[in-house]
Amino acid sequence: MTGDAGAPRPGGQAIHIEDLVGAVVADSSGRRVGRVVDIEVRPRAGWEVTALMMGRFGVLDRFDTLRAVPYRLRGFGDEQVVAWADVATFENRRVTLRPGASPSPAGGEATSGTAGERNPTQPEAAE
Amino acid sequence: MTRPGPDRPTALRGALLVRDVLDAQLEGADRKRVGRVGDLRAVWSDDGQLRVTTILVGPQVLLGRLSYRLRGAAQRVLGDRFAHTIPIEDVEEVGPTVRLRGRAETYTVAAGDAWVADHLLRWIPGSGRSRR
Repeated sequence: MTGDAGAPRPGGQAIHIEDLVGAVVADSSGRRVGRVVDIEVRPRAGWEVTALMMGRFGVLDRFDTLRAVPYRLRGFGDEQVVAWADVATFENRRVTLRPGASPSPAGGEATSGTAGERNPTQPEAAE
Repeated sequence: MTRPGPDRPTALRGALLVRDVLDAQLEGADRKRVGRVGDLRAVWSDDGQLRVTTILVGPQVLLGRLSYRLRGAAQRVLGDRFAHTIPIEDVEEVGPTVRLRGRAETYTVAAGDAWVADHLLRWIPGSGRSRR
């Protein structure tokens, strides 16, 4: 159920990460800006969620092996991220951003190539 | 107005939950397999931080991934018999596998696999387990 995912605001609410993945992201006016395809965390900082990675290819983003195809064809630079600090609400599997917040282009080495590649080293080695 | 907080990320660092953790093989410190990460539970606290707290393993977790509507039904049918949780603090390393700090036998998740091996696989010729 998404009762836990239906928390309109924080307050010790439990969230299943699987509910967050695939959720629609909308800005404060309700305009859809993408879907959550991955979630960035900092394991060495108490597994804090820092950003939502958004994709444009719906269910293709969920399949590692297929995911590379559209991004290779269209360029991975299309992918965008939104800081978790910019999230206002998460209810009914829909993420709404705070007023004035908007996604920014993803960059950096961690997303180069295909997102299906496993990081062979400690994930935070780059930090 | 955007709530004060960390600067908007321009580069992704750290681990990615879908890429690196969900569905990943769990293994103990002794490199024995424990199970697979089915889902993760996180808590959104009053200070606005969302932190992953628990690894969820078990068939009802997988049903919940098919559809969140199945989560309640799976809970009613299966109860907590096959559900297992592992504190996220037990994760030692995230890489090709998710390695835990404890040995495999310390996690009840592995008990189901051990039961299958001891009671079912032992009857298969060539399994390496003698029939007593």
